[in-house]
Amino acid sequence: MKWMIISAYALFVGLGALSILSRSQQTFEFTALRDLPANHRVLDSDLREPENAWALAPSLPQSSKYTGKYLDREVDAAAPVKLAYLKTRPAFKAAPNTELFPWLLNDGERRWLEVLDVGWRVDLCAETCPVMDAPVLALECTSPTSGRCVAVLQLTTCQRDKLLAYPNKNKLSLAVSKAELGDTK
Amino acid sequence: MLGTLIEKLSALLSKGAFVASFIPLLAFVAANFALLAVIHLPSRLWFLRHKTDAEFISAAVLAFLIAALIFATINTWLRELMEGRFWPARICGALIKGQRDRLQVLTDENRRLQRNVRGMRRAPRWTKDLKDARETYPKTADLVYNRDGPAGSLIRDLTERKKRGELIEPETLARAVDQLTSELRITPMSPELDADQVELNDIIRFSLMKNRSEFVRVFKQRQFNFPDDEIDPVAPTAMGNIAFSIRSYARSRYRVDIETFWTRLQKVMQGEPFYAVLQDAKVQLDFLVSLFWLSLVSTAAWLIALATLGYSLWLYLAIAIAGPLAVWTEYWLALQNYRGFADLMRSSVDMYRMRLLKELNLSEPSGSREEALLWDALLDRMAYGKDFYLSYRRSE
Repeated sequence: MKWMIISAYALFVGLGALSILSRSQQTFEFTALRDLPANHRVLDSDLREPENAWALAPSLPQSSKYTGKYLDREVDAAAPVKLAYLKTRPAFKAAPNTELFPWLLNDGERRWLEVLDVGWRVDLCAETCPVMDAPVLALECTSPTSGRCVAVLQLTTCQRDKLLAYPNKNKLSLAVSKAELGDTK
Repeated sequence: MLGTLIEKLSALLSKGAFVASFIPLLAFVAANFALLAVIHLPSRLWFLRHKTDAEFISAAVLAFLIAALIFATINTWLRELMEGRFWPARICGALIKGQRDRLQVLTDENRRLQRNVRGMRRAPRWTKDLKDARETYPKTADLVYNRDGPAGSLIRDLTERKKRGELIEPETLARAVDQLTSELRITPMSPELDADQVELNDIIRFSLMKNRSEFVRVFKQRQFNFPDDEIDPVAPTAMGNIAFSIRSYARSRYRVDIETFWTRLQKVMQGEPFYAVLQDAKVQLDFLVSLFWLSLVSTAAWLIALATLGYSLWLYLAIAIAGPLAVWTEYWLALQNYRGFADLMRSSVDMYRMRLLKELNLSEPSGSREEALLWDALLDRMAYGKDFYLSYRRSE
């Protein structure tokens, strides 16, 4: 009787362990709250917590592993944002007849990191605007959480020359000329 | 805050219920909710949201208090369940067979030791035989005692067994005595032969004590763990058999039916320091019974929950191993405690049964036979309602 009870218990524990093992193959992923373009710098506000209301002791990825990293592809709203999609640096290339121009975001402009996104178009203006309607290719920072950040702009040669010739570059500030708000499904 | 709450609630419950039910339940509820909060995020968030909600806390305290009162009420039933009552007949049958096998092993051991004790009655004669053989003359002059011969080897072996505290059967001792007697009769005395004779006498004395003490140990084990008579019913669990042993003791010694007279006996004992000791033992037993069931239910619940919804194999295996170990340890401790409690119950029958007779206004019996007849008569009258004459003690 004693051995029968021990055997039945061992069988139950074994079946439970197998069930947990098969279930633990399924990983919980954060999902995108909206459409995210390639090279998008991932923020906490872009991610939805995984659906795990009934899961006990699930192995959840930490959102800090996502934030400040760059997507290597577009991710649709509600689609999983896998860790494999994330890169430490954005990958971009200027279109023909254009040049990349890193616009350093000073302390007053860091808020743009939360607002701007890849594909948006911006102006650089003071009294006049030497750059208008320049596409943002990426928002790049030296580290995921702190450090210096730049908005990588794609400028035409003409825009670049105007910018370089502008006398009070320090007074120039960023302004959004066109925003890609995308579909939030 | 918790301290004040516990103080207020303890005033509502008896000391026994507070220690035996409230404290274990509080500990287990806290531990289980803590584990739930650690491994289940929505629950954790829910607890954090409600931790300062006065209405929620009041409702939780009220619910807990009701649960503690219900738990205190069912404690006796839970102990009876551990004693093997209310179980399905098929399971009971299989378990009773196991308990009968255990009893048989003890009975066989007891009989073997009883035989040994009887066999050891020859010990004084063995010592005398050895002495007589030593004093027998003439000896064979050119013979030298060989310590590696049959007698010497056997004595070396027995010495080793004595050092290890092993039980030595009288038959083996008789063989050693025969062999050494033969040697002593014909071999001239030498320091080796003298030493072996001294050693064998020591072994005989040791075996005498050892067989007696083992016999008493096994007899007590048999007596305190099972009903007296082999034809008495056997319970499906060890705890049930300890309970039966109390009934069997009172019945076989005094013909007292403890189930019928226990409540009345308690009334007689009230106010006595011994009764406080008995009550404390009962509270300890109830406490362990509570721990056993709470551990069992918690372990089962977590294993089922983790097997169906869990993702952590390590947590599951930790509970699968630690849970049954805790349950088994608590059952074992409860069993030990029950033995102590049973002994106190037996003692209370020994000490207070005459006072009960006095309380019932009956004359004290003049001897054990009269007492047995009196308790039988009382049982018939009180439990079965048989109507026959009982003379009362005249009030002084």
